[in-house]
Amino acid sequence: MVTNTNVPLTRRGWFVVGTILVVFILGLLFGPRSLNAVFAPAFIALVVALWQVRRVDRPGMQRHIPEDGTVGEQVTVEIESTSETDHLGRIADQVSDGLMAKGNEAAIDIDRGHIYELTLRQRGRHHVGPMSVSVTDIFGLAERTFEYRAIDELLVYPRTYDIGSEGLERLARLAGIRLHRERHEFDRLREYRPEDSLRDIHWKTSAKRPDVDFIVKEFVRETDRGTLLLSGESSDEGDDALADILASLSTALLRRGINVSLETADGSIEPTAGVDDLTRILIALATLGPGKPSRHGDVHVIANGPDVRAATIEIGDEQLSFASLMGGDRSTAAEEEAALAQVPAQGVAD
Amino acid sequence: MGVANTVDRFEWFTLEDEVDYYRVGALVGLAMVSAASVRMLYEITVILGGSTRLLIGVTAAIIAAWLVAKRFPLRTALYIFSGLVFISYLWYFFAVGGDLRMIVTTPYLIIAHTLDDTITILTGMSVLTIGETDVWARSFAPAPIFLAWYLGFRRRYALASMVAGGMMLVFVFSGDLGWWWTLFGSTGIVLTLGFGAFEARRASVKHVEWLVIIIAVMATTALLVPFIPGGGAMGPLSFIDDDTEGNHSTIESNVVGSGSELRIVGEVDLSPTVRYTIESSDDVYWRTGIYDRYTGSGWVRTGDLEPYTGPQDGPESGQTVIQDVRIESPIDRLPAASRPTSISGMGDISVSEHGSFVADEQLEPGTTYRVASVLPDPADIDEDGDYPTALYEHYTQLPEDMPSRVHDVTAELTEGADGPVEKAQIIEAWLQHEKDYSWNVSRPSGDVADAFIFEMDAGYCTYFATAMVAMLRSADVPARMAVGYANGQQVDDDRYVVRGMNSHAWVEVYVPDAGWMTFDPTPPAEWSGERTDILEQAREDGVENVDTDESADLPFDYEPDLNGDGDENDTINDTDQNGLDDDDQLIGGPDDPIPEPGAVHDFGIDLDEFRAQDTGGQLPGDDDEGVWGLPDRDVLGLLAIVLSGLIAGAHRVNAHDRMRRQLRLRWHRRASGSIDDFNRSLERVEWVLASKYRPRRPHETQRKYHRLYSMSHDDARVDRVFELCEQARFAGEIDSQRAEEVVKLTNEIVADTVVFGGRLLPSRSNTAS
Repeated sequence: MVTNTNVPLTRRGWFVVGTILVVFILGLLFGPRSLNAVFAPAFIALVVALWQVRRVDRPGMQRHIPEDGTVGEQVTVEIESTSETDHLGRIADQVSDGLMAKGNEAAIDIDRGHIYELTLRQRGRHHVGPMSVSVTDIFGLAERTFEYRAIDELLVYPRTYDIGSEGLERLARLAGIRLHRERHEFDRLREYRPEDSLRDIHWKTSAKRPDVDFIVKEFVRETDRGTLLLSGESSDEGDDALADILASLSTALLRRGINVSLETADGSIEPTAGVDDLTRILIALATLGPGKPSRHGDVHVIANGPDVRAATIEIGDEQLSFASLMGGDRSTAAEEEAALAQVPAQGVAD
Repeated sequence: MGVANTVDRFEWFTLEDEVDYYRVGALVGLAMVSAASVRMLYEITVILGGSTRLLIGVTAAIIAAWLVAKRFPLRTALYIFSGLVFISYLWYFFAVGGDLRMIVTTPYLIIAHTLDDTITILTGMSVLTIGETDVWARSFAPAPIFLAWYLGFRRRYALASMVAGGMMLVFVFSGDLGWWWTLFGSTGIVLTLGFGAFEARRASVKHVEWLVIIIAVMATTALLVPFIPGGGAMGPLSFIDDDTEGNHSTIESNVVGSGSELRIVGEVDLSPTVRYTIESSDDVYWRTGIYDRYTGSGWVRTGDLEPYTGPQDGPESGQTVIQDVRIESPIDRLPAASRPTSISGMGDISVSEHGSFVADEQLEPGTTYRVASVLPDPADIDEDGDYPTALYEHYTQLPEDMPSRVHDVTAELTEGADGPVEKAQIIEAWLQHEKDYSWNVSRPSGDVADAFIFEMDAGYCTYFATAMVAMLRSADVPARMAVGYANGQQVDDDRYVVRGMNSHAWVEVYVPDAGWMTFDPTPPAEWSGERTDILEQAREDGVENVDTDESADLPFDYEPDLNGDGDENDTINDTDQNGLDDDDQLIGGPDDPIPEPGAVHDFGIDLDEFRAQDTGGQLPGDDDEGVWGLPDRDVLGLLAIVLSGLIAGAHRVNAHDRMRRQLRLRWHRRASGSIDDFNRSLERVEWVLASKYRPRRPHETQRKYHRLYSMSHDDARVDRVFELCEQARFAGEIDSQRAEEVVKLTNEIVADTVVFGGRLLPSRSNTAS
């Protein structure tokens, strides 16, 4: 949809028109001198600009953007040109509040498309678009703008903080649950058996052991898992903090073999079989609003301000601050090495 | 528009990828625009002095721009720019003689004067006609150069080209910047904007092609299409311009008819048209104007015209000459002897700064006026007198690039001469003796005075006068060139009929305390004969307006024997003009070096000595004539542009591939004996059928296409070709015999329908439809 008036000149284009009018008039009045060498190029530039911009077809533009991300993350948005326009132009892609864009408005070579960075500032459901692309001539004298209404949604999950193992164990003790050993999603590595799903193959290790068929990850069985009900409430300013905390706790607990149910002002989430739980929880927490849940869980988080450290956690009669639970990083590589050491060094004699 | 086209920051200069090449391109464009302006300013300061200072100023401005651009934002730069403008204006203001009081008491006068100068420029008056142009040039240059380059370094290319382009436009409007340099500057702006846009967008290189094409179109159009109506529409190819350059203007239009600028030309014609009838007690030089600034290729007159309000000042003592003038054909010049003091019988008149009268409008034949002139009094001459400083500075101006040998030969010639009058007389005599008179000369390249003295054998009055003024000025004698009419046809006592061919240029020399005195270095006797011939021819041909009633019956008998001694080789009678009686000389005596008129005299000058000298690099004139009136190098440059445009254009439309395809379709020389022959033949037949019948549709098989064709066309050859091709492709039946057959048949089919190199015609034979 062309949004400009009949004569698609830019401000610069009108300036050039004005200039050549002045040149023309002065040339008529006082003699041509060498003014033709000023007039002709400017005139040609205008003619070419108008002609180019008039006959250009709507450029095909396609936006590529990830569907989700986490608060604080930076994602790349790519605008791809799907047609050959052969022109220069400008692009302006709108982003919703909570996303900070750098380079979403830029001058571009249309056929080369455009890439810009998006910083995810706030959690929630955001959108990118609509987009407008202007086609101009080389000198910027005329332009035509095309609108692209396609809007892409981007779901931004809350931040996940690391929960230190000491803190987590303290919490578990208070809540009366037993944590599994610290490990990652999978329990251990072992050799492939025919009934194993191909998805469970741990490629990295398999590559290191070419003499063996494959190495697979073995997951903790469902029945081994304990359950915990997490709940949380927040004031208007604290909903972000609450979401972050609940996300952090859920991630940590699930990793240590605990099934997590969630109870918030928005509703409840029951655990299901499989690792989808975390994703479902994160999706729900992405859009979490302030308020109180209908019931308190085994672990109840209260966040009344934006600072996660100030939030309190009630477990039974005990109260701790979230700050006391936060801990350092554990090297994931070290974990993996440890798991690797459990695989038999030689091939299994079979 | 919202979005900024560029990112306003400074980047280190590295040539790593195409973006950096674009940046170089944009800055090259900016350099081109700047060069156009700076060159103009440089020319001015060469003529008037101070060229080195100008270049230093410009270079400093660019370096300053670079330094400031590294760190400071636009606002700072604008402050600096405003400061520079203010300072430069002040500097110019004081240089032209303003003082602080004027600023306070009459600010409007200053504004009015500035506006006046601006309008002068806009209306096409050379900037050289403004007062202290050299100071103006040096003070005006740095500020806009600084700002333009600051913007360029900060990648604000649109603004940069606006500033630099505006600077160039000043000289385009004033008419000083020639066509070629204007195009050069415009191209620079185009490059800056284009490459600037590419840089901002990291555009792919294919756009550069388009830019080249556009530039070629622009150059060609500017050359050939007269957008702005008027004589100069064809740019350098114009032959219509009758006032200056090239094709045989008359001597009158060049000398008397030039306005504030006089360009020295080559060959001139003599016009026999009658202009005035003058009654005057003395046979004097009737001056219409003077020129005070010598550019090396011509003259410029500075100063404005003021309305005439009453008698002017003249020399205090000195003889008064009354002249009654009747105008015989439309003209606006009012010749009068130097120095005219009052005029009567006329309507609106203006006076130039140098005392010449000009009518505000063209005057009709029959108009009469009376003018009184006061001649200088030779008794006032003070041999030890001083020149007024301002006058001395002004009238000894010479271009910096005039070769020094002019000064050297003058020094040798006037060795032993005392004072301006002696020097003038010697130079006058030398030129009369040394050079011949001819109006059939080619305009020399380089400095005209130098060329006339050392390289030409003959010339006409402009050349003589220019050489003499140049020589005098190089000897520190204030001098200027005067133009007007001299030596009309005497039809009665004290009555003269003056024609176009009597227009003349001579010299005025300032002599302390007596004022401006007249000298004429043009040898007189030689030019009379040819004028007689022209007049007689014109009379025979019945040309109008070559005679008045009084002159019609008289032979054109220019009588050089003015002092009545029977000798026709007298010098031009400037004695009258200088207030002397016939036999007097201004300064004389038995020992003076001035030769007797007509005597053979050895001045002791050997020009060959000086010819061997290196004249030093001169600025080639802006309009050295080559092919088409364009300098050869410029023609080359233009051709280069057009050629690149064509190449770029051809590349863009894939002309190479297209041409090859066309050739392949039309000719197939020999069968190669492979499947290639069949494929190609099929392609060619389809090409023919596409226009004769219809093109094959995208999803239509060839078999179906052929079947449909043969239903409405009975064409055995086409059928056979299709059959051969099918057998070749699907049954593998490929041998040289079949290949030759298919090629031969296809050639016949194509030949029937295709005109050589042209479009397809419908077939003449067997179309059964």
